[in-house]
Amino acid sequence: MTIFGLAFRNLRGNGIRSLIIFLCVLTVVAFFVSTSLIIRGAQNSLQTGMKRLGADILVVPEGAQSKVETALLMGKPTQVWMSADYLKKVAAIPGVGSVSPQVYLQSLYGAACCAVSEMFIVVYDPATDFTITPWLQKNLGRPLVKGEVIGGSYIFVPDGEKYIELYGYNLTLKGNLESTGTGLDQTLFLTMETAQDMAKSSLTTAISPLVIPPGEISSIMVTVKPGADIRKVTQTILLQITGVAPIESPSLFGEFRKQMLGLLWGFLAVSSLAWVISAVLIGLVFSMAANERRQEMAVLRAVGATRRFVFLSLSTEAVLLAVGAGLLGITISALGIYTFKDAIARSLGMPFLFPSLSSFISLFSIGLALSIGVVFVATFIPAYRISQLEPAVAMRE
Amino acid sequence: MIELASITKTYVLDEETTISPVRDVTLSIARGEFILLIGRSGSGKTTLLNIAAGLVRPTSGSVRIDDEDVWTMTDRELSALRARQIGFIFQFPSLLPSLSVLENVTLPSRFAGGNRGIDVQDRAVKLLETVGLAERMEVYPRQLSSGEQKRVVIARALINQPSILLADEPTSDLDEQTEHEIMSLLKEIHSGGLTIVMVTHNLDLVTYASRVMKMENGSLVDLTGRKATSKNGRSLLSPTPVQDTTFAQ
Repeated sequence: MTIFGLAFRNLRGNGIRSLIIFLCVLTVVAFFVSTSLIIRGAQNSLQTGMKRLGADILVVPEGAQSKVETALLMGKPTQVWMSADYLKKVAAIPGVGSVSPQVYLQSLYGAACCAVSEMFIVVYDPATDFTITPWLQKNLGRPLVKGEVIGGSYIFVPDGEKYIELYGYNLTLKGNLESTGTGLDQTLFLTMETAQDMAKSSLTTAISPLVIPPGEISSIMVTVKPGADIRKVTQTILLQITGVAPIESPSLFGEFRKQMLGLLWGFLAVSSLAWVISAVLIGLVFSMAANERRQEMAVLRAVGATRRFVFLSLSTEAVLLAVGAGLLGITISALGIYTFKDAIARSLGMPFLFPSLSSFISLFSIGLALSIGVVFVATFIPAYRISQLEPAVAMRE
Repeated sequence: MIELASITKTYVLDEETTISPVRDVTLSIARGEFILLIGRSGSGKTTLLNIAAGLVRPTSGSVRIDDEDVWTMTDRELSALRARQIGFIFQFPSLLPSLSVLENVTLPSRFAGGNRGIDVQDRAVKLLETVGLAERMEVYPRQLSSGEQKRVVIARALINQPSILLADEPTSDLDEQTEHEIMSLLKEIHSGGLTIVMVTHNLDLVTYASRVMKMENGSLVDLTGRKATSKNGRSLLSPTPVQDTTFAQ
């Protein structure tokens, strides 16, 4: 009989104790992994979204920072305007490499064309764009022509239709960008030429016409020259150009990141407390159960088991429970989060993109290591104490 | 074979109270003996047996098994000695409840180390046949009666072919018939050359022993050779169990 075989048999033979410890570990590890997945999912989503934008600095009308960030983050449509003259002013700032204007539009409420009723529309300039164009080159091999669009991962052509109809104008969906978990997934990207054509057409075909103020844009995407300091360029824009607000890429979604950091610390505190409480509970349950089994341990010693064997046997029982409960807890929470990720993101009001495989494996390992570590620490003292008892003393008590 | 020299065991209950269930006991056990250790409850019989098995460290004195001082051994060495040389029958139900009868019997072989030329499964089955439980080797201890459990414990104690069997009240809580069966079994095993030291408070069992020792207030008195009679005057050498036994001084 191997030490694992004996431990496994003892686990089955001590059902109540095993179940309590198993449920304790399962609950805590599931909570830990769920919360970590949500936080990591949000971080992953932000990073992917920022990468997708591809800009070092985003310049928006003064006072519109929050609206634009919410639109990009959660896909809530917004319309903000500033003069296109700012484009030249920003381009003239030392250190600025390239600039590209974008216009933000929104579809009509209740449009039966896509996954979301109010759709955020980003109009870009193919001549200067560095957000969508690289993707088009790679995946389509050519730029979009008039009437063509690409969408975020949630954009689709309604069943039985050939086009996405917006403002009574038929748009051909040429592809979908990879998921970012942000509002960009619910965003439609089209060229200025298509937008102007759609606005013109909407005067006769839409319930409410699409209005694009001439000479106005919503934002300017900026990249800095190689070696230039993004922060310095941002400060220069802020100082030299009035009426606009530059947001450097690392600070994008800053307000949300602060909230998320608060949430992270909250989760961390609750999670730590849960681990500590479980460790105490597991230690108590294990200690009580081990005390009841003193005679068994004494018998083991009497028939030739060493102190080390008794300690390892008890510890193996604890570790087997931790591994089983840890694996199940991680699996349940990962499946749960994966299945309900959209509902969770909606209810928490945060973007979410399931972490990459490597990130998930690291979280899986941490969760499992924590389960084993906490159970081992919690059961170490009772296991050690019983293993050190003189067999005859253990028999009599 | 086992030499207990000037053994004293003292337990400290609190700062002012100590008890010594064993006081300055010297005992030499030769190979092939069947020693019966009798005495009243609390007289120190079990403590002395545990000391002889290396299950409890004496406060003073030495325990030597085959000329080796057991308390100079490491835990690993002492455990190996227990596994290979000593079979132990406990007073309390001592089968592991999560293991089957067969697994309980083979368990000590796990600690004996090496092959030792024994086919463990085969020997376990034979031992269970000897104790009359071959048909029940797959059941669990809770499915056995007290007497059956005791018989399984005897089989377990013999699995590693020990040279000495230490039995602590192996017939307590058993009916007369089962007690007789167990004792006959021990007698049979002893006739094969095994050394047995058995603790009991049942004086009727002295007929089975080659030597009778009595624990009294922590000290050991050798009663071998003394005339032991029952109150009705019958000899203790009679194979018929006798009640109310006394020893003439």
